[in-house]
Amino acid sequence: MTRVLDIARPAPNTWDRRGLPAWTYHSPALFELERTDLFLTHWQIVGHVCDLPSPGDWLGYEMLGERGVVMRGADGTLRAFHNLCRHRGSRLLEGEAGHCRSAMVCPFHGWVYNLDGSLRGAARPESFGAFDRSKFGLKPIEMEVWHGFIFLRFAPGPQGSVAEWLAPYAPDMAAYRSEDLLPAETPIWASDLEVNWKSVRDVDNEGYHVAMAHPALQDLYGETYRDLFIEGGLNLSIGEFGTRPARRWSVRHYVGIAPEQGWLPDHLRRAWTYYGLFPNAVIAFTPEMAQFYQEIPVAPGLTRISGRIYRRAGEDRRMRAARYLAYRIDRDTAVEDQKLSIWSNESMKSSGFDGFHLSDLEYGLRSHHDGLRTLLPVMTLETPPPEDQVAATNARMQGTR
Amino acid sequence: MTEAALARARRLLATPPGLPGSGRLRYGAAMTLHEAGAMSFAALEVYRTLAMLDAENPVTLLKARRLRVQPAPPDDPAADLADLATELDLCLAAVVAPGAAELRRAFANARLQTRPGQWRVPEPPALVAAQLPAALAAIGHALPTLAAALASAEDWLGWVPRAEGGEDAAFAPLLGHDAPWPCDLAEFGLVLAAPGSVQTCRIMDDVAYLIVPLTGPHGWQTASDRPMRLRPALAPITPVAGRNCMARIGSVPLLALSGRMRAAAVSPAGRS
Repeated sequence: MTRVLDIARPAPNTWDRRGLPAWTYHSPALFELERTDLFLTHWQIVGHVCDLPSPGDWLGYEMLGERGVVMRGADGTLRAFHNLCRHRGSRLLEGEAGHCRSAMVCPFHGWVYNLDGSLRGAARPESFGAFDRSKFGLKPIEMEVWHGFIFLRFAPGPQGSVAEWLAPYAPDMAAYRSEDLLPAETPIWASDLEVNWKSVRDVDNEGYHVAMAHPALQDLYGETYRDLFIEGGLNLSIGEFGTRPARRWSVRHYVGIAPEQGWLPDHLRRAWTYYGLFPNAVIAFTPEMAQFYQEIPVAPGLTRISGRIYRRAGEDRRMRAARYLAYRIDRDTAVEDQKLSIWSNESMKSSGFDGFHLSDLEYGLRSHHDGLRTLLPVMTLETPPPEDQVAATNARMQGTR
Repeated sequence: MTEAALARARRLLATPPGLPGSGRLRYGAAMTLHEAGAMSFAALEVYRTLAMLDAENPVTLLKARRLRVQPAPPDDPAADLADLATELDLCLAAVVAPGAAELRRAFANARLQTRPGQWRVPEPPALVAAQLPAALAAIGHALPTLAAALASAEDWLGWVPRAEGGEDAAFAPLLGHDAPWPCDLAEFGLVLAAPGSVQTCRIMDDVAYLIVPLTGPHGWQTASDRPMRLRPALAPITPVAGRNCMARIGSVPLLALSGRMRAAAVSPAGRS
């Protein structure tokens, strides 16, 4: 089995060290392009099969005006639909997750849908004349389950299937037995941050700042941390703990208490790993837990940061304590990162901002930005086009490539 | 439309008024019957009108409008048990405790693989007739849909005296050996115990073990060297492996979910 570590490459040290131009962080016209050409056309991780084990369990996912729902049908099959009645577009299910006992009933006029998305019947059916029920099922959304994780894509895009796209990660996911994860006690977390989504991703995409901004992470694995890059825009970050005595309370106790997971291969047994999912998410593992986190853009200057946390089946008290300490370290890191994201995003509107000058240790940003530039070539322009011409300029540049 | 789907719809149509969400359940079932040609436009509209009014009985309105009332569904033990399983699953989904997600997954997998098969329904211990009504009354306010499902499935549960409880306690298996849903990896069911009785158990191997009392308060001691604590209904209890666990039942009967996973089923290394 090929390990992702064996096919990853380090960052080159002769490259254009500039980041994206500042205007791309606050242009509404570019944000609209990101909506249509990036987020809706790229896979989004929305949950794990363990989040909805029983028929009728459902999971909602909303992004940029799209309302998706993943439903486990009476036959046990997972399906994804637009959470949108085919009559007038009303929301059928409200909330982040729930259970449907038998059918989805639209609260507006009362159309009824089966758990497989087919229309059971319209309210006042005699008022519709000849009516072909089969043409009014809920609109499906492309969905793929990969190593237990559920992905949705609202429109076709360049990534191929999830299995093809993330194939280099597959051996590690198999090693982690990610299909067998279970939800943690409080699996969902989310917070809104008044920044552009790229400012959050920029901070998360490099480890150069860890030594300065994240004392706990530095104490945990700072000396061994590295970012690795894989052909096709994937990136893996990895840090190994326990290589030297820890000084901070959470880290010291985590390293001391984390039980050796003998079932994991050597290279993952004492590692915290982060698998990047272009453009806006990460699946992260420690030996005793897993999570994914993502930036969900809401507006050019507003981002919802959210994630879900998973645990191992049958964990004992020691493992549970280790997971709590890992969560505690992560919680501090998240707060520290949010402040950095705000400050970075603020700078984009300042006349004093001349753009990034990136270190080799920040090649992850460049790699991510390159992915964005390829999709949206207008992002290569240092001077912004007029707002009403951003889309046309981008289309022209795509045509001339 | 299959006969099974129609039978299911007739069951759901008869969901008692007053249960949360029952209006939409009845309306959804009415739509199935209407689409199958078994219910008129006018009757369907009665169910739509009352879809968000859980407490209202559609039969009253149907009779007032001189519309046909659907016949009561026949007894269906398997369906009663399946409905109870759904309610227990929802109860388990709300539990935050070690072992809850493991049990939920095992129960869901078993339910997806098979409908309840042939299982033994022995003569229930006298305790059941004496104590179950009071237990159901006690949970009726907080867990009305579970109480209703339990009342419907009462005759199909295989209550047996609980090994450690003498005549004061009984267990009705749902998942496990000799249970409606056979399973080698987990055991899950209901425990009933008399008020004022003392119940003990000992978890011998290091497996996920969980008790979710549906009634309360009762006194719980999760290990012999730990204090006895009064815990309310729905506060999960996790006995310590290898130690004696004791419950001092309060003034209402104990009705609880009880489940355990076998070690091979929960170890990350043990799953295939």
